Amino acid sequence: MDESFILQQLKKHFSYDQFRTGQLEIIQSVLAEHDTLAVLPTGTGKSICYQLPALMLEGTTIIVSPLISLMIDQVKELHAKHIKKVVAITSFMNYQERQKVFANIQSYKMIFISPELLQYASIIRQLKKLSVSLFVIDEAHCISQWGHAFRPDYLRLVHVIHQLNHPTVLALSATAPPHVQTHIEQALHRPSMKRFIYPMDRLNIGLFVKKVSSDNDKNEALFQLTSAYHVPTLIYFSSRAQAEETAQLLRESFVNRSVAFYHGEMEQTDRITVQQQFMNDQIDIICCTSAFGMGINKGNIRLVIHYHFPGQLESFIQEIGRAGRDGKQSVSIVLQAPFDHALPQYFLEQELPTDETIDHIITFLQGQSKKVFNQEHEKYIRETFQLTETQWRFMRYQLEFHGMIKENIIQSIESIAVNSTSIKNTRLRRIYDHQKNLSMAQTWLEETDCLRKKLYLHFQDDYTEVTHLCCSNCHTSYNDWKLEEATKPTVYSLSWEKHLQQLLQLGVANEPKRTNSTHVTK
Amino acid sequence: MFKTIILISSDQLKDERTIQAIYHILQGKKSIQTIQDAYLYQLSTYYGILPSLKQSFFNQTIQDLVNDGYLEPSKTYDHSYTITKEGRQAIKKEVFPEMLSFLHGRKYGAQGIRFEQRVLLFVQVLSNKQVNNMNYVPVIDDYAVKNDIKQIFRQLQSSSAALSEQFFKECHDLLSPIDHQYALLFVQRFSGYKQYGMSLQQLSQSVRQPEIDILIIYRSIIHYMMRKIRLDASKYPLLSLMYPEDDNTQLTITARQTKSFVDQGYNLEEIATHRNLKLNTIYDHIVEIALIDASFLIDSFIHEEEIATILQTVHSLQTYQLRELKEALGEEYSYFQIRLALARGGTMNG
Repeated sequence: MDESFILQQLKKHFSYDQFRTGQLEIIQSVLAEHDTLAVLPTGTGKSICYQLPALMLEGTTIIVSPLISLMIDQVKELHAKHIKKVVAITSFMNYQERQKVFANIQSYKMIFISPELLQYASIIRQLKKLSVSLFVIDEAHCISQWGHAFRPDYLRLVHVIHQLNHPTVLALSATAPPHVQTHIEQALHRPSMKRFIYPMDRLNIGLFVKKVSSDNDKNEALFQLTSAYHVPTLIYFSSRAQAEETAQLLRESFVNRSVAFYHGEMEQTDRITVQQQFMNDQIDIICCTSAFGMGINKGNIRLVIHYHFPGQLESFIQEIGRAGRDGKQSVSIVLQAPFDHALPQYFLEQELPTDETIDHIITFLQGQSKKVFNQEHEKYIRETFQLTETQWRFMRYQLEFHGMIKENIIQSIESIAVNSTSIKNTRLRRIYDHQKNLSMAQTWLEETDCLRKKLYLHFQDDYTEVTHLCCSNCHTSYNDWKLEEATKPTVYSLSWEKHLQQLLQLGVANEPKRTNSTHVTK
Repeated sequence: MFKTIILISSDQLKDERTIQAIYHILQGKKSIQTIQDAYLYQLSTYYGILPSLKQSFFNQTIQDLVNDGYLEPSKTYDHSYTITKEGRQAIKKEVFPEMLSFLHGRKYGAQGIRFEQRVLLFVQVLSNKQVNNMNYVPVIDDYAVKNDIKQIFRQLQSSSAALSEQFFKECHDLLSPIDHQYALLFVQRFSGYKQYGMSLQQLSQSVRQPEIDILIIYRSIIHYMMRKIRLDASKYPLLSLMYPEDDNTQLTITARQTKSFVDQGYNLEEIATHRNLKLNTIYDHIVEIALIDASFLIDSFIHEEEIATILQTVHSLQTYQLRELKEALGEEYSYFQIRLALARGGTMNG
């Protein structure tokens, strides 16, 4: 389709004057009804790649997204742009809300939904009423068993696409190395998707590893960094408790910085509050777990610190990718202590059910064979064996994959031993894969060669050299980092009257405009 | 504050109810038993102030109070607790007594939450209008509240600058008499242009008080404002627009239906037959209506003198227990009449 027409549409709907790297090519491919696989680094505007075609195409676009909060954010953002015919169907909706959406299902241009909900026949029945022109799979690496964020229900999407009469498919990811790309195509039964792969290099992010000897040293380093650099900062932790504690420590130490924590166990409203305040520069340091970041569209994050290193390099690339989206110089600093690998090792062992639990579950189900597998069974299994969400998801998928549950009926099997051995082997393979990822990460941290080169060559054939602030192995230090601008120190509102007047824009005309002030810390 | 409310409640209940009755009152359970308890034990002010209170959190707080020595195992009920002497002392040490006195859950509970949401959204919309900004994420997601605010702005002819002045003036009048630290908490939750309000969690961190206490302080201020607005609406024209309509919604839907039959002149047996319900269920509705609606006439069910006798018995026996009262009063009085008398007696006292 004509480039200038698409550009005109972009301006009309989103008020952007130009496309960013890759967007136009991907949109053209989708509009020409090619099944498309796009790998775009984080922060390059992936969502425009389906939002614009969705508005231009006849019929409905379905977007599969792994996180409810992500969907809700997207819908809110679109609403804020006055694009109203969009909805997220989630498990949070009550029966009436869902019925209301279904009653008007024809009126939506975009429907966001999770892969889990797409497994319900009742929902598919509703979606079949539509003429679906585009089927988008966001975070498509979740399809791959070899990816780090495998979600079994993603694998079943191929059936959904079939039931919806084979609309054009667009699979999007920010982190899909070649073998995962191939697996996405296989899993979707679409061997010849048009691929648009863009390099993950982020030239404006300096990569630094700082070796310390203890957690105390890490805290010391955090204090130095946060007092030296008054910039929007993310600090990643692998433990929720430690994110909260450190936030409290920093809050007490710096009266002029505003600090918050963020993790997956927080209430939805508190999460939205923290996100929105961070966007508005009311908060400038966030201590978080990997739950923070997806869908955060903030241009001026300057510093990403890893208090704990994630279990694999893909996650690391995604997390540092949140820095410097506006193209300005930003910095990633990893704080590394000698026994750091103990924590990811622990998480790794916790991630999947033990061999013993696998045996117990299979034995239990054999006692229930021929029955319909229902919520009571699930509840019983999860409570008796104390399974986490991830552990149960793994188990559930394996039970189906091995034919022990077929169309929700518990099957009787010939040999418990054969099946359980097969599941245990899968478990071992998964653990082995994770271990490999972990040691790859470990090796990278110990690297003496250029960190940039070593990081990106894992995922692509080439990388771009950087002269200034490349990495801690290339004779630069983050001390060479000169800030162009710093956030202003926090201003406290002294009285409620002043606060309310400012909020209502009363009598503030001759005062400087507040942009970076905040009231979050004491 | 939350703990003080539990201790006060336990003190009022005099070990005649289990500790769970407090949970039901705070959470605003719409059952005759709970509504009656709230009236009879003079806990109406706490009725329904925390609709989203979690049972597990409540249990944990009870456990904390037991560990502090403020509650001890009940003598009347298994698995229940009652206040100790130390507990009574602790009530006096409440740091926010003023805020507690503002609360009136029975009057403003359900409407109060709607009012609070309208105010929060109104400020955000107004602030953004002031700078002609149309792109922002509304702090309140509820479709009904968004619609309320749309309607309110449709009625208003003044410029956003004039509205801001007026809103500030009204808030100023209401909040000035309040301790400024609470007033600050109150406005810090507001969102506006490029500024997202603080969550309860953040407010709790900043003043180092439990999150639930911040919520209760917030509710107190809302109830206080509503009382003032109701007393003199002409003084608060803008906030009056946000004041939620008087609602029958405090009644359960089924009781509302029974009431409309009564209003049309049907007797209770006819209503039971017509609605295909047990007569006892209709009795429950009548008691519920009598409790909630002070203007509802009950003289066709019970005479003035009978009420007096029942209340006298309550006084001499020092109990509200239905079974004990029934035994003392004998066959002449039905449970229905005793409950009605209690409902009205409660209203008079409360």
